[in-house]
Amino acid sequence: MNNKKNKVSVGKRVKEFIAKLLMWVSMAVVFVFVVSVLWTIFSKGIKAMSWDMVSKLPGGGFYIGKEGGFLNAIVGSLMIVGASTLLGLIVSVPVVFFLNVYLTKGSRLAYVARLAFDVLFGVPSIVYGAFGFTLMIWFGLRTSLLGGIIVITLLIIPIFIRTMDEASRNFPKGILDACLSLGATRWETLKVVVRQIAPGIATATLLSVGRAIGDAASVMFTAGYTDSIPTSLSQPAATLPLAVFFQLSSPIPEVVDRAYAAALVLTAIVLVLSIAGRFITARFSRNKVS
Amino acid sequence: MIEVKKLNVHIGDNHILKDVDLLFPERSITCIVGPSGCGKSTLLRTLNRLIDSTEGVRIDGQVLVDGEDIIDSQSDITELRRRIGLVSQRPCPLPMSIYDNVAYGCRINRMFKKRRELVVHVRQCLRAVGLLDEIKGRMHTPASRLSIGQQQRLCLARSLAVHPDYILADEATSALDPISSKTVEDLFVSLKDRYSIIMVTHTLRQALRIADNVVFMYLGEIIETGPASQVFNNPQKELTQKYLSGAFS
Repeated sequence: MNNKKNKVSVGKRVKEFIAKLLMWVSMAVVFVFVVSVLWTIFSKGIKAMSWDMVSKLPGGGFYIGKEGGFLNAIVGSLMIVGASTLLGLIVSVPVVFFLNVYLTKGSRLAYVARLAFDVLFGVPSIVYGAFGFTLMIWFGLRTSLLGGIIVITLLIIPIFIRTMDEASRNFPKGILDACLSLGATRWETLKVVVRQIAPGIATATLLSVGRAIGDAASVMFTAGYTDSIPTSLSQPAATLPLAVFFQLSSPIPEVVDRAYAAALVLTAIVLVLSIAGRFITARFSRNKVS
Repeated sequence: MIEVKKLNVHIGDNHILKDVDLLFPERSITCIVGPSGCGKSTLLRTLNRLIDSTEGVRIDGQVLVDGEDIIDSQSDITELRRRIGLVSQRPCPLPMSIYDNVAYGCRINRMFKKRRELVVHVRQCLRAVGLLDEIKGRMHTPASRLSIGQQQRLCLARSLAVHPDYILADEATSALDPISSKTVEDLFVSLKDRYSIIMVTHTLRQALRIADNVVFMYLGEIIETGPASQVFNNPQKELTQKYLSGAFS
């Protein structure tokens, strides 16, 4: 009897060991992958990295390895991402609010809307680029900062909505009842809803910014590329992913290194935003009711 | 005074409340008792029309609050809800500071023009529920950090802040520990001189302690209603007798 008992526990221990081992292996794969990506970008990019790279516009012979930097791409990316994140938030928060506060759980409209956003979430960015391009031809627009902002906004709206929507699913129903019973209209509960899902909004913003800043396909046809910093919405704008793309395909080794330097800056921006986002999320979570 | 006439509530195909006729006297505590699923909470949520947000709900009949039929689609629902405060089963603080929780209702109802007046009012409401001294210096910290009992008293303070005429309490002490429960119970008793309190409770002993009037419900119908002493000591209906004797719960 005792022996049998021991055998079972050994079997369980082996299973536990295998499960743990698999988890560790998976963790290690992910970790090695992240570190190797960062190391590749860092080791190759640091060679070409200099203050000039991030503070100067491309000079005459920049693309054959001569003087200048890619400030145009840094500023262009930040302009597009900043504006489209703001626009994305302005459009998405009311949609999420409508889905979760105005529509009932079994609502068909909510079901269809969520399905549509799921589909849009999965649409490849090149399709957004092509769609934006068609729109621009339709309206007679040239490649411009505005074109880039509009397409990136369209690209991140589904990310914003679905991420915030998921965060709102766990919204305590009692909070809404409490607001309504104090004499609030449903619209007046918006402030409370936003406060409760603030961590979700912060996460959605981080995901959206990450996607927006790193996407090359959608801005290729819409924002274009230029060696200067745009001074109006109708001028084309350079972006970091395209700076990487164009320089990486060069046969000149110095230019290829600069592609990695641009990738390094892109990664650094995402990293800084993620860390800042974590702090902001923690700050916003202060009042959250569990 | 709240008067319910021939009230029928259907949710989908379920007939939840059946021909309910009731009168809730003013400045007293009326306890609604009955087994789980008998429609107590539905009745309560109908009184402030929170039931509206339930899918597939259909309401027939009249609920007269001070003579005005609130089931009528013409009635101002937000003003009605301000007049009827709600304390729910689980304390539900808003995701903001203690101060802002109490101030929220005053702000949306634009009750005060000056900030100083609002501060004084918030302090009064917190004092009324015995929280002011307990949270000294922590007025602007998140409400979620209070203990469950304190949170429930905060919810009561929040309701009192918008000057309601009635307070609905849906098993307001069931999630609390015995000491907090007693504190909240005593609060309700102390408030009955100024407010009409309608309380759903699952605990007969609680109803026995604090109720002035009792409504006994079973399967969506009102079985017996009257002064607490009469219903508890001399129940007229057999079902009430069985329920009070613990034959079912």
